[in-house]
Amino acid sequence: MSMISIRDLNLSVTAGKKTTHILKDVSFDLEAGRITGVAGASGSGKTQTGLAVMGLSPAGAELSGSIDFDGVELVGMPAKQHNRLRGVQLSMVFQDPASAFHPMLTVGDQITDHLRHHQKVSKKDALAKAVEILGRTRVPHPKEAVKKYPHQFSGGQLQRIAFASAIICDPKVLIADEPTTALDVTVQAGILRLLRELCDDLDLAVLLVTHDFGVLSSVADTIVVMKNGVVVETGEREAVITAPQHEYTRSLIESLPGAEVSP
Amino acid sequence: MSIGTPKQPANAPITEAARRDPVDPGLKRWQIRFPKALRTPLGIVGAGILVLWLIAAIFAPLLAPFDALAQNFPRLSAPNGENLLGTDTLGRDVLSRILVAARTTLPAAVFVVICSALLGSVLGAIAGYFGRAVDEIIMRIADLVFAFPTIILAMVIAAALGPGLKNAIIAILLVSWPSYARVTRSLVMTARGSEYVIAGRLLGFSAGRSLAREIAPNVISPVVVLATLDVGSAILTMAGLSFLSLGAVPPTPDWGAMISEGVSQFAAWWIAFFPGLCILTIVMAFNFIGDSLRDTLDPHTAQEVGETTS
Amino acid sequence: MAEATTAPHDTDVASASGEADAAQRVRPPKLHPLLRFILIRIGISLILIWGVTVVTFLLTNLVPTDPVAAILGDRAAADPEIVAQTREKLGLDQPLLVQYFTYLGNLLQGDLGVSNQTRTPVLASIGQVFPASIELGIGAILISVILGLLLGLLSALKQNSLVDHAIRTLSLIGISAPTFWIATVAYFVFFFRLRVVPGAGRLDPWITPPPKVTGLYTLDSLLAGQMATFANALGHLILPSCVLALFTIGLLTRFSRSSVLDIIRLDYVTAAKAKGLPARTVVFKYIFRGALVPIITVVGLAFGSLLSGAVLTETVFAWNGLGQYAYRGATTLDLPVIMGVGLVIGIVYILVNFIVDLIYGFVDPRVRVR
Repeated sequence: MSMISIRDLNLSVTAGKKTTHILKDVSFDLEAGRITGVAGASGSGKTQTGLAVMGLSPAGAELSGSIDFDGVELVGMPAKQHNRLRGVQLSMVFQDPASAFHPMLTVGDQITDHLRHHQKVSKKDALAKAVEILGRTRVPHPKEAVKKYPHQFSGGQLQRIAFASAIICDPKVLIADEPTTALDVTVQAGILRLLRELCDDLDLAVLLVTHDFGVLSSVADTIVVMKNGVVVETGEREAVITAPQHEYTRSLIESLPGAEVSP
Repeated sequence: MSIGTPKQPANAPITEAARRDPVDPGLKRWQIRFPKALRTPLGIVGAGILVLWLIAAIFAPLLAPFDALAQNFPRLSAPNGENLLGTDTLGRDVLSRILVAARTTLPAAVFVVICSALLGSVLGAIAGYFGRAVDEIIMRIADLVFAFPTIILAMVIAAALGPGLKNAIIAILLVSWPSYARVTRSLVMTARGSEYVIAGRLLGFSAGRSLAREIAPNVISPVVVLATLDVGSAILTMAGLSFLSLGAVPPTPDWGAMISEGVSQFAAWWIAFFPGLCILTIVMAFNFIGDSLRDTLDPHTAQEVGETTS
Repeated sequence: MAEATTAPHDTDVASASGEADAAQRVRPPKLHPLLRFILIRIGISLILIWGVTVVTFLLTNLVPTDPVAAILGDRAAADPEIVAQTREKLGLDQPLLVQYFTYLGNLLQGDLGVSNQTRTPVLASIGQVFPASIELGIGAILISVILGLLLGLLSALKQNSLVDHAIRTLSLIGISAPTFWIATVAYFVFFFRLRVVPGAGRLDPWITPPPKVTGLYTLDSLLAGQMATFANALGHLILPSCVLALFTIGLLTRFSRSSVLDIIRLDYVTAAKAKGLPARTVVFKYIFRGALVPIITVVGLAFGSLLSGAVLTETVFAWNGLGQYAYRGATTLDLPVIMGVGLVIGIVYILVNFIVDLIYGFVDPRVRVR
């Protein structure tokens, strides 16, 4: 049973007389406990797909098609209703952790304010839970960390804090938009490992968006390849990597150092 | 010919790369933007008002019904059939004086802005390009100017030099150049570090040539926007100085001086009202145009959503 | 602007803090960032104040008009002996550098010279009229900050809507009008014709000012419990404050709008929305707080335009403040007065910007906390 079923998703933006089609008939599924990786270059529409699930498409954009979330239709859902799902059932982690946090609020405040808003938890309880979750995402010294400000952490630590913020309300879906792109190579592996763990332990349906095929080949269960707003290939990781059907997928794999593709 | 300037076709979308390196789009981009800049409604209104005023200023001697200096009419008469905007304390026709005042104010303001833009930009470019001591000296002097509110410093300088239009112009020039210097300096510093210019230097291009060919085109747009908005400020400051009797010397008609006269002749509201209205409309025109230019030349607002999604 | 503190390095997560702590203990203790920030700002302000004195001194002494002639009057100026004596008395025969130090010495003792017109010491006169301008300035700043920030925020949130266009156009017009003209027109319309506001001056002529504590009539009458005087003073304050605020409202609206627009684009706003926070929380907790910081700096600059505006508009309202004093000095070419006012306003402006910088330092944790 798919947690999220995306069918024929179309997204277009009209600026003046010009209409740009960002997503064209995009279809794929997200399953609980599995990481679905979406690969593609800039402009392929991969981030916009994730944003569409969250209901954060650009203002004035037209979204059509279907995003079925556990029986609930997300396309065309009124903003207020969608807002109640965000942070609670659907959560997102962004590319650059340093800019995803407000520089003037403590980390503890930022990872608990949605918890307190959605689930009416007291400040004390929320902070206690924050400390617990920070421990889970392996942020050092969680009790002191909640009182600190974002600039006091390194990129890797901040991304772990971002994950903590994303899972604190026990969501069903996690969208990770290029979570390792802004990080040092040495730290990337740790973050990907964390993502895998969280997915397995919490039975999350994960959408992992990236332009780096190497990232996908290490953690994704299913791979979706997008180009210019269109899905060009879908499949299980092994299948896509060893026997890519589409030319574009082939070129992405070949661009990896040390890759060999079977004809 | 600059080496390897990617020749962008006129309507090329603004790609990620082009936006990151400000030097690449080069001349073509601001050239496309210029006519478009006046296509916002405010820009058109502003341009329209400006054209009307230019006509008024150029043809003032023909348009003015009477001699601006002639004291022929009954003093302090309200607007009527003969003196459409009334007469002042000395019985001069207000309408004629207003039109003739435009002939001194407009050219003076434009002149001041062009001079301060040139002076400021050159100094700023030098500061940004050569850095170190030169940069420090120029910027500290600029900081000193910024330490005063504009009109106060202009007032002090104009008072020290003595009343008169020439001294008012000098005062405003001295007060305005630092804004351009700051803008140009930061633009030059950014461009100086761009791979483009470094490549040029490696090929042996001189400092002057680098500045002129690679950096200048990108400095022009922000400076033009700043200058357009600055004309309005210059007019306001000049009017302020005249109001303080530090600008144009009587009997030359001047809007600021007329308002000053109007304040002492309070009941004769027309003496202060109409000159002020003129200042308002002209400054508005320049501000509308400048704002419209800035909106279209700023990459953030000008970019189209479709090209930036991933 | 805030100094960037170096970000901690990315090392293996588990031992990151431990290693960093050890390294910290070995290095000599650095000055607390906030203290360093304050000290640097004080240093810069002092240097600027010194620079301002140099500027006013140079302007006073490079003046084409002969100061001696202005003081002596025509007949005495024709006698070369008297001229020479006066020059010696004024120290004008000394080399420029010596004159500067005399000037600086006088300044530090509070001697700004004597008005050519009234023969009263400039500093004393300034001290007398200053509170009136402060009162006006506070009134104008309050109005312009509240209105300017809110209008700018509204305009940015509803970008490209009718409301946005209306606010943008109005603020453009607001910064295009000469303040002294608006003052005249407003005074004519609201007092002369409509009689909606009280007349010129800070109080009606038959009312005695409250006992002086701060020099601000509104505050002093409140402190003395004289409610009728307070009401009168407040009534007189309204129109001049609004007129003076007009330009600054336009300025702050425009700046607040662009500041908020910049913030809205930032990732942390999207991240806040992604957490499902209600719109009002996103706006006030995340957007506005971020936009507030650069806005604080602009408020300092706005103060400068208020000071300039005061010089031009106080006369219209017969508001007996620094502005009117400066106006009289300017129109009579009373150089000691003009220079004195210029110097004082310059110093006040530097101090205001210093305070603004301090506030900025306290508000932004990147400066406050290591």
